[in-house]
Amino acid sequence: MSAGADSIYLDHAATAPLAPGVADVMQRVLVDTPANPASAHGPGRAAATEVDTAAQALGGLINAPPGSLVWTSGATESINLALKGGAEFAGCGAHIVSVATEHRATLDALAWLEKQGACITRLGVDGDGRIDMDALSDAVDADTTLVSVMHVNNETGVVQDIAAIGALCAERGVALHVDAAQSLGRLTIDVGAMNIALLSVSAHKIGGPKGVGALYVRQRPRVGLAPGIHGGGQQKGLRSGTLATHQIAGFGAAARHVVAHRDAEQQRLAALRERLWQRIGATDGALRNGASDSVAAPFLSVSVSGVHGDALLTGLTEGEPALAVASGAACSAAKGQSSYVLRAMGRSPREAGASIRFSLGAGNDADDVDRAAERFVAEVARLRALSPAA
Amino acid sequence: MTIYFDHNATTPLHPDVFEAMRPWLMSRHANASSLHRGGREARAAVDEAREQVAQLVGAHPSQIVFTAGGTEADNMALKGIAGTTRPARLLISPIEHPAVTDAATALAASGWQVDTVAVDGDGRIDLADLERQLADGDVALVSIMAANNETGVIQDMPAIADIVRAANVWLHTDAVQAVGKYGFDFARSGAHCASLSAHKIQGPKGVGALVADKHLDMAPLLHGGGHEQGLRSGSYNVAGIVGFGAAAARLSEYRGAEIEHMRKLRTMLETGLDTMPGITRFSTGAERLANTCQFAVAGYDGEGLLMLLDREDIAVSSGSACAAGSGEPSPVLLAMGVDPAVARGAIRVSLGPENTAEEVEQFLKVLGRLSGGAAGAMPGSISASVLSG
Repeated sequence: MSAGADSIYLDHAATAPLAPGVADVMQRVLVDTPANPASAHGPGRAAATEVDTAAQALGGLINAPPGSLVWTSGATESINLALKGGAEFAGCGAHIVSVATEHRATLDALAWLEKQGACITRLGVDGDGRIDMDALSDAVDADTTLVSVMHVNNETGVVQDIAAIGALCAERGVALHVDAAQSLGRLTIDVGAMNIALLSVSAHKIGGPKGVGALYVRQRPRVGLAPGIHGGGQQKGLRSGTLATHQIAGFGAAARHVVAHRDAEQQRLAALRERLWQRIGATDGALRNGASDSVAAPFLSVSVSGVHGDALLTGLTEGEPALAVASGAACSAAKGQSSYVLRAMGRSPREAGASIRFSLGAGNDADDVDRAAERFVAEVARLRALSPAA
Repeated sequence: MTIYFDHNATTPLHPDVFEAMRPWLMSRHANASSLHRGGREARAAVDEAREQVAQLVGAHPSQIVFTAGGTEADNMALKGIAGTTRPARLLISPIEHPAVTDAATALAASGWQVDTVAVDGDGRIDLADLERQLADGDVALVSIMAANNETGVIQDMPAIADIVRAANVWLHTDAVQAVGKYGFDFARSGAHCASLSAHKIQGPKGVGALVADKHLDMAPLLHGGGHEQGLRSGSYNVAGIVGFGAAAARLSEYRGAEIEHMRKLRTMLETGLDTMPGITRFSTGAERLANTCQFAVAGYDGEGLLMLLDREDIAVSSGSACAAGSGEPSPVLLAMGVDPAVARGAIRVSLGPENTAEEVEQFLKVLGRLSGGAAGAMPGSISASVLSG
């Protein structure tokens, strides 16, 4: 779906349109079950039933019991709860092993924990954005309280081998937290088979509404967490606050849609992505970030030399058709920073600065991809002609 | 059709609010932090909502920090202010919402001394006690709710603020209940920060705000991405925020009339209650929210009565929704010196703008029948477990 008649939306990693049927579910819940799900009366119980139904759907998508899900306001809150709540529960001496290319929510929470006295190890990545399993093994010691790794990187789409990481963590007796904001709905997630203790997810990346997420918390063996938001004691005291019934029901509806359509859709997007790369890859100085066999289907991250990054992004997002693309994470974009993810993969600051992330989704077709490729090639040529020495 | 008398727990979404949200759910989906056109349009919608909320509560748009709700705003205020200073004393009232009391308990675990300011028999802050406690020194923060969720009692915030500011101490107020049913005004309240919630004013659940004075130094509660000037990270809930703005804009226009309507219905309710035997109404001597009436029926336990009313398709509360099912008497009433046996029988009726005189009549009729039963055939306390059998 395009954001307007003259624009092509290729920014599904930032956020995705609601999946079919989700808005209807949300409207129905808003109108028919407006009560507080914590209320003891009939209307309250009707609202609580909607929450339970959604927990079944999301639990089914990640093979988790519904009772192991904590609803939050989004992946950022889930990640904060997993990392800070886990460290607070562990008490002094928390040691967390994570990765340099994690989302800002993880990096900023870890930086805060470090200031509070926690010990943080940040693993580097190779040129393809992957962590080295031996380095992980070396970093985990007897005092390690948590390993935190994102499943799919939000800027490049690079996939980490969570099954292998989970197996290592299980063998060493360390809990694993996975930021699955970008992998839910795209890759298979099985919290049991993958030995995942904590999993952060977000609704709006899978066709659900913005402002709702969840944290899976393994019950056996139980993962200890201190609450991040205190109050009325909802959700077993782990996360207080009135549950946003319609938001949670929308998340559940999106999860049901994913279960029915994911695998065929991801194959379709992978083919479209290759089509896009075929059309822009021949551009002089264009580099693809991440190896194609270890990048999630919707993602294509391209660095291009000899053009100014801001100029390229502006050129693409303006003009006709306007391309809704990103130079990196939406949250970093707002602050005009160059990509720390690409720099960690060995790109020079200059290359990292002139990088475009295409992230495809349900509304995109071959025509979108062809027109986007044409615009990209033309825009790079135009900018080089304007400033040949750049 | 259910008679819904539980508007302090949550309010139904106003149809106009849904219409404002609709495009941001259906077709305009961009991330408000994205630089492309769709992203900039979403950001503009968030900023318009910021202005609408600010205007409703007498604040500047730059003072509004959007959160996931009132509970998060309360946590952010207490922990955020505490996060920038060494542990000191925190003063709260004994009638605060659990979001404040539990956040205070969490601070106590990290070295803060939490003290409570006394309230009188109607649930109003004892200003002399507040002054005494501040004079004891080392207080860094005071948190006192603008209007209570159970009794509806409205505090004299300007008077409280004068005392707190004279002691050079930060003041937070939980204004979640004081916006839709009372004309809470941030500037006039004198507080340095105030918590708001959309779903108590016919907006959507899952969105709220902390209104914060620019001079306030605060640490963020949620890290990552640096949204809201670094104070609150996480992708913007654009549709929810737009809904909050629309609810605020609506209220700016209709609040006066809605309050009058609710006050009229409540007068009718209380006139009826006062003719029934065995009814104790609470906080009758204090200024209260126009929609709230808390009372106990002799011989009943509140939760049991709630269940009986529920069978008659009437939705009320026995306290705050969060504490539903705990079976404990209300800490708010106990702090006011109410006998625990009486407090256990408390139920709360909280009216809304869509309630009607017919609904109040029906409620009185049902209650009259039930309380007659309590005085006669079924004396003594009736517990929820007996009723569900």
